[in-house]
Amino acid sequence: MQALTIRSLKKSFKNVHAIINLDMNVPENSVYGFLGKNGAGKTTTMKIITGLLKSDGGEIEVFGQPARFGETKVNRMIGYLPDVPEFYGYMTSKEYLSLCAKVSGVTPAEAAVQIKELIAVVGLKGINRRIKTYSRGMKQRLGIAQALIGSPKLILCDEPTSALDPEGRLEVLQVLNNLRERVTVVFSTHILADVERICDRVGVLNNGCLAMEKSISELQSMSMSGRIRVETYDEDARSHLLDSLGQLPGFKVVVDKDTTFFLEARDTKEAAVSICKTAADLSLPLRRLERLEQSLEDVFMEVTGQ
Amino acid sequence: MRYFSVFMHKEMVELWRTSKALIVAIVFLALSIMSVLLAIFTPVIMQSVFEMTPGMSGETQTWPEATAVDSYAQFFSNIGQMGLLMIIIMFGAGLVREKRQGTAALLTARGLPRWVVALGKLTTGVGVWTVAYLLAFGVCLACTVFYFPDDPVDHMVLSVTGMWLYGIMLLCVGFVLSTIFKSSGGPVGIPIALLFLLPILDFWKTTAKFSPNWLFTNSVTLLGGTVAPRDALAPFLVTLAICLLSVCLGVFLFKENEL
Repeated sequence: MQALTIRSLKKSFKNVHAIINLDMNVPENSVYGFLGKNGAGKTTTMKIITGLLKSDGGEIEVFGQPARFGETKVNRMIGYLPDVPEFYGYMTSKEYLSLCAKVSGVTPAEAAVQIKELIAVVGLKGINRRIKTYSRGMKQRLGIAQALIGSPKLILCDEPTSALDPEGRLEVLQVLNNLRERVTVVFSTHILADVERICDRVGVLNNGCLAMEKSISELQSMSMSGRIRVETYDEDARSHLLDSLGQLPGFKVVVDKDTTFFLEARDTKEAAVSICKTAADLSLPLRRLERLEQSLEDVFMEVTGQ
Repeated sequence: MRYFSVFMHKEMVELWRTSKALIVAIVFLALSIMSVLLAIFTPVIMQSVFEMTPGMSGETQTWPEATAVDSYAQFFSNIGQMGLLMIIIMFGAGLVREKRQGTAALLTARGLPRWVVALGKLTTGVGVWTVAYLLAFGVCLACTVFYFPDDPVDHMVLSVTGMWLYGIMLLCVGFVLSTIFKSSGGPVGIPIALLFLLPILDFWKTTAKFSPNWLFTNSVTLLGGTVAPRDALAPFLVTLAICLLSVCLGVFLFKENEL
């Protein structure tokens, strides 16, 4: 079953078309990374799913149930962490989580257990002072705890690691990763390393629609593809080597000048091995062989047109 | 109703922890006691001022003795202006604050019905106004009866209820404005403006008969028996209608608000 299905979602703010035609599917019990440049519409999408904003068209289903603006039934399956969570400053974290538990319909006994667990997991154990004294990082941790209270089936996190130090970031990613088998997680981020670390699937939002949606392994394959720069000692050697390499599948010469040529290959590692072998067979020494790999960042920049 | 009681519990904690309840109680009690004292000492003060005025020292002037009606008049004047001003400023834009801070968004995203948040904030304002008003009136009543034991007044309940309903109306207007405006300016400024501009409607006899302001300006004349209670029916009904309409409209609009 799909945990989250979005079909033809549209949203505009006055003259700005934030989301034009978004289709998205998030499998159950997976971790989905939601990428996009600033202003792409990630936060808007999450707010529409949680019923905080009204869409201009399209449909959203959460575990097969329609999610509509102003209706709260589906919200009870969702835990939401906004990018800058705000709480009641006069409460302590336990009190706020208790409030959330009551809203979620959790029994007091179960709430006490969950709160104790979550406070320890997010690293707020022993902090009994009021939320108004918390740093941004501490509020972010509390935000994660409140998103998890009530055992929601779907967690939407809007940049959950943005305000955290490196240690905090790793802890949060670990928390989200550990939820994998029980809960579906959708989180938006700019930190591509976080995506690589824990996501099963990635969607890149650009120009109001999903420009790319792939599994992380497919993305990593893409990032293994790239270019190879080869430099020989003379032009004859270059031509001779190119003629032989031209017989092999999967190579595409993109630049060819003087003693240097660039090849595009799906798998640069394999390609480098093939080039070395071919050069050895022809007894042609190579002055330089360099793999210019496409990182995930390069993939992202390419997809978002930057 | 479960959600409503959970939210109201949160509101009670907020009132206590932010000291709003204490501040309102202290101010209202002070206004109440001040009203009685002002009524008692106004003739004395006027006499002293008269005697100190140059050229008047040899003259005699009789000032009417203070009565219970004077005490209640001061009460309604002070509570109806300063007290209501305070209530509107502190509670008139409660919903706007929840929206702006994002605290409402987090709870509604979790499944808290929007009508609970809306009515909860209104109920808090109405509750504080009611309790503070009754507390202040209780003190005023006790002091007035103590200082003016043989001075009964007419139509006390009607008079007190009228002023109370007037305050409720201003809070309800602030409530519906909270669902329209994005900042506190409108929900606080417009009811305050109404507090001072509604009396202008009294210039036209037709509107004066139905204006909610009648409840404010005639709270004292009712006590003195110079105005008939049946004249209060029309403004009561109009004020009640404004309250109900504002509440229904406010809840409907908040359901449509994007958070």
